[in-house]
Amino acid sequence: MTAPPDLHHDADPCEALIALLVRAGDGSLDDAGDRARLDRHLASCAACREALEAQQAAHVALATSFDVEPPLGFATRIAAQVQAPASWFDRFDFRQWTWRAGPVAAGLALAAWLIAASSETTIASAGGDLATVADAVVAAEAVLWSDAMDEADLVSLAWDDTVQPDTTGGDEAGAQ
Amino acid sequence: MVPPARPSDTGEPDPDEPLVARARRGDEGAVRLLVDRYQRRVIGLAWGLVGDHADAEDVAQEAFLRAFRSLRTFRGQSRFRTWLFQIAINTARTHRRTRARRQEEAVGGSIDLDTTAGGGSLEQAVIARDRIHRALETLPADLREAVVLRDVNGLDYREIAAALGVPIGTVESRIFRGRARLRQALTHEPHDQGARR
Repeated sequence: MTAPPDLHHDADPCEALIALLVRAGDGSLDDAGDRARLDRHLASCAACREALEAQQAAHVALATSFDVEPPLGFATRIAAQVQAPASWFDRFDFRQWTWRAGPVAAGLALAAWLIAASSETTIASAGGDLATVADAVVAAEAVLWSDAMDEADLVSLAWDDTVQPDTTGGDEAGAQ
Repeated sequence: MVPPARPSDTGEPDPDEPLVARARRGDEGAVRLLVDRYQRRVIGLAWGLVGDHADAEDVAQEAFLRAFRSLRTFRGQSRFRTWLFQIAINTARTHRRTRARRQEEAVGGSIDLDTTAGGGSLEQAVIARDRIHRALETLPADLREAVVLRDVNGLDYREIAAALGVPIGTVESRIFRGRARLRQALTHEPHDQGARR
């Protein structure tokens, strides 16, 4: 059942009936209680009767104006293209690499630092710093592989690739 | 940013899940079956959103390819078809932006129809359909997307809310306003046409 509008307390009862009007307009107002509530209102509101007529007319016009006949072999063509090798950029799959290469990058950084440090100072004098850097690397890896950085973020990153921001703007008059 | 849909958006098992699992393993037959299942709806959605049938097939093809090539990122947090429609919507949005830049055309202008070609009933039917498509083009993108998802694609209100990433009340409001504007455009257009003559 659709959330029942309160005709006695809403400032504009017609506004409160939008949820019922849109459903009645496309024939999906199935709940008998909602239908009776709407009918009672329509009996005394010419504006809503006109609005309902417009909803029905627009729905019918749209529902009958897009007769889609997919081109022959469309599905087969898509399936073949999906199986075909993707571009080098897609195959590289940089997002996965970004995360999986984290520990490797950390190890390389540590090795580079060790080489640089050994060439400039004695092992003894660098001992304390080495421990600090090793701790930092371990901590960085822990963050990389923590739950917070796991599935949710990977999904979010993937999402960024396929879903663009809704730039439509405009005011939203939530009817509920 | 439109957030991914959550399981609560549908609350029912995804009937596509077995095919999606096979497609994820590289089963070409499963991909073909999924495309077969949704090609009409994706092309119809794209047609309603980009306003041109030939472009719609290109957009639909791109949407399917993007979906299947990024299937590993689909975690089943929404129905497969909701996720697919989200990708189609965004592909259509990108197409419209690109086309608008390329053609430097103003989207949302007045309806300009040439009714002189009208003769037989078939022609009249084609013209009537064209009028509806053009009227749809005059709607703001948010209203157009909502009415196309409902009246062309036949998605239920919860699925539309999930696909657009907005509350269901917003969906109802957008559809209500979109249909009202569409009706107004279709009703007033012949008078405007007459006034120009």
